[in-house]
Amino acid sequence: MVVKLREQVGTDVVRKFDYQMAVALDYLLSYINEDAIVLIETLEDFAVLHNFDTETEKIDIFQVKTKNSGLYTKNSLFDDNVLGKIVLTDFYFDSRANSLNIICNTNLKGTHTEILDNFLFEDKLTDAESKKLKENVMEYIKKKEPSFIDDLAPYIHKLIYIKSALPFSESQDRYSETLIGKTQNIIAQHLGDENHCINPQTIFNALKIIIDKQRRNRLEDGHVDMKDAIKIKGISTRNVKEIIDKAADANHLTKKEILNHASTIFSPEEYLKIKEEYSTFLAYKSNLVDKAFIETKNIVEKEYKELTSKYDSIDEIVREVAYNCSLKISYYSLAVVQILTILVVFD
Amino acid sequence: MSIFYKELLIVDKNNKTARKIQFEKGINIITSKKNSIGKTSLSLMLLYSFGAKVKFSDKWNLNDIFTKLTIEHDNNDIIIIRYKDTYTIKTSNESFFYPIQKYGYSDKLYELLGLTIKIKDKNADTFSTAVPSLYLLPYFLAQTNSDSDRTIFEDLAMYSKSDLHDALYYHVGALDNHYSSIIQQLTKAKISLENLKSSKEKQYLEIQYLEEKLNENKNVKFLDEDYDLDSDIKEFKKYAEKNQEYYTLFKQKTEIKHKIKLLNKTLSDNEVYTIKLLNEEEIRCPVCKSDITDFISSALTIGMAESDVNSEISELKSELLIIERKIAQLKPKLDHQREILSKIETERKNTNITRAILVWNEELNNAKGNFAETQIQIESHEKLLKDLNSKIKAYTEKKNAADLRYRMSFSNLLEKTNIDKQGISIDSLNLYDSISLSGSEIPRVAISRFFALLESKNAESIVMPIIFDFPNLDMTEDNLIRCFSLMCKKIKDVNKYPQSFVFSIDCLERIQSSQEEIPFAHIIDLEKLTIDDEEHPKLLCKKDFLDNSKEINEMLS
Repeated sequence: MVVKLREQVGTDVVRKFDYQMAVALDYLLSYINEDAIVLIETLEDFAVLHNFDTETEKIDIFQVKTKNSGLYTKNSLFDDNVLGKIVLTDFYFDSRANSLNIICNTNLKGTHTEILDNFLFEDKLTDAESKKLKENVMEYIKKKEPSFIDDLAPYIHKLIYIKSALPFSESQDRYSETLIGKTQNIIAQHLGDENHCINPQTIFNALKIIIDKQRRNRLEDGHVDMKDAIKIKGISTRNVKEIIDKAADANHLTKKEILNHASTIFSPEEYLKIKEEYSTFLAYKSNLVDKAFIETKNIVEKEYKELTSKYDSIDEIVREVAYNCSLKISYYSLAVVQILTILVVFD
Repeated sequence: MSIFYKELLIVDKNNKTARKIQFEKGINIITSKKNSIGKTSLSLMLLYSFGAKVKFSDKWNLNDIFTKLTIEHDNNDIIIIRYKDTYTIKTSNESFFYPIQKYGYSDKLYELLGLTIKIKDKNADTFSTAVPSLYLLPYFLAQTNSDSDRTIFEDLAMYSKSDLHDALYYHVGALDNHYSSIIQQLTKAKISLENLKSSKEKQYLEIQYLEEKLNENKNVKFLDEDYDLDSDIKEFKKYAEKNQEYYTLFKQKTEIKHKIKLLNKTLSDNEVYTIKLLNEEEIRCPVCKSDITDFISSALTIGMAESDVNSEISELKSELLIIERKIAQLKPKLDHQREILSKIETERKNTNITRAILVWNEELNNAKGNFAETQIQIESHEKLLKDLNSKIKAYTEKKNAADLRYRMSFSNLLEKTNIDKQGISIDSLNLYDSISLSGSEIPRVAISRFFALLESKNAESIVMPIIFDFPNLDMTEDNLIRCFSLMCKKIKDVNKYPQSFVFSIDCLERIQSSQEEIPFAHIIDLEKLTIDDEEHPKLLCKKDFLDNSKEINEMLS
């Protein structure tokens, strides 16, 4: 299926993980038990594709708005042609959208009315407001697409205002925290294990990177095949599960476990030194650019293979490997080599 | 007090020659018809054998010469044996050997003879016993052709002119044995007075300083009890502990910060890696092509790394927070402790000052006491100096009197020896001052001065035999007769001149022509003594060596 895309402002390549994407990820995580795909920056900010390409397919389109202080007002909605744009998008999308959502971090403030929460525009607007809304949308669409002859009513019927549950702030820390918490629940849910050892941040970081990648991918303006669009702009709940599964496979020793091993294998003095130098070790280990670490790891692995046959006790093997290697490796301290050996042997 | 030369034995051990001559009390005339027979040498030997350093003619090799001089003093014989600079003194019951003159010979000889002239050492404030030459100086008249005939005594060159004058004042009795000690006392007193005055000045400054210090701190409150040192030390220890704790925390803080920095660097390094991944650039393991599955693996790897680092950072940050809280809690405690310490230090300082005031007061009392003591000492020294100065004044008066006597006598004698006094300012002459004259006047002036000096002597004077080597110069017959007449008149008075030696050619004839008589004179005609070689007569002969071989052997051994 080929759809026409509304002309959009180009995506900033170096843009950080922003609130729009956080909201998209929030939706993705929310539908983890369903077959859902989040399509980024193709249909407005994002679209959620439920059971895509099946009979029960349902597509929701989302536009995210933020307000630093005060409340979002109806007037701003009109001034920015927010509703006109999203209706036009649906129009190009052959009106296949199930709903057209405006998500904002604040409630909507009416000119005369009370503060509004989540609602269908149709239900909450006065007649005058509805009329003004229609006029406003129509004016925008006519300007952009003179061939539009549809009745506006079905579109207006789809319009929803949502006050986002995700807390907003200038820095990403606050909404990231909420999402990490949500990730933690999802991992437990997916693995069916409340006490899993996977760090939710690992999954969250990976998801962030994937979102970022998909965001960078550019669609040709004009018409695009939906499947292609999903390939380069979509993330599915299946992908999330895949990440969790891979993380479970690649489960690695935690700091606590490493130190636990160190305390039984090495002398108390050495253990204290190891504890002290763990951060340094981590800096080396986690630095994916650092080739020296990979080289060292290879040396330790080789030594481990050679010594395995010579000793019965695993502790003794760890000790010997670490001492032998520290003689060969001049750029890391003994403690760092010892931690690495534990990692090689026990991980 | 008189000293007589009794006998002189001269031995040349190399040539095995000798001469032994006896002398008598009163007048001894040593004469000959010929010249160069040894009269002057004999006169010099009298000086040499006594211990004087005199100049002989080149004929004499003193390295081979032994002398043995027998002198009589208070009816006792004293024998002096000299060989080069070694001396042996023998009395009837004792014998002393001196390997070098200045080590004791003079002292011993003078002790035996009762002589006590002490002369100031050159370049020092000490006095020491005079050399024998100084005793012989006024009693010897050389055959001089210059005005200053004392040059015959070579060892007198070491004395200054004023010291030589002093020696002569001893001879004429103007100075006595106490003089040198008074001079020494005076010198000492002057030095110690100077020292006392300078220490008085120092003490005064000290008093000033201490009074100033006490004045500065006169308002300081006295703390008469010492603070509890132990409790103070505890506070210091507490501070040290807290300080240590504080800096340990500070160090930990710095270390954690460094670790966080390191981890943050890893994150920023990884960002580069992530961008490469996102841009689907070729990167080494663990990323492959743009298949979403591989991409998921890579993203997961980065996610793991980042989450590890982030959790470590947050752990470190929480640790840092705890440490910072500890530091914040500790800081006021440390400040408080520091305040306590500074209070303690101030208190301690005050205690020190009050202690210092006690010490200063004590020192001030001492200093004042010392000052008064010094003042008393200065006064007593000034009195002593006054006494000594009056004694010196008495000596000076005596010296002036001696000078006066000398001048009168000298002026008188110059007339007798026919010297024109015009141009000679006699009034300014002191004892034995030389006068610049020339030619035939020299011996006449010398004789006048010689006897003028001897005339200046008084009852306390030292009396030694006079040795008169008569000048052999071209005087007119008249002047010669005048000189001989003068000499004879003087030496005839044996009370004044108990022993005298006159060395002269044709001595008896000359006495006769001066129309003087010298009865009882002991006449030694050198030509009548045994002479080895008549052609080349010498003072020493082999016969005397053989005749006195026993004595000589004894002497040489």
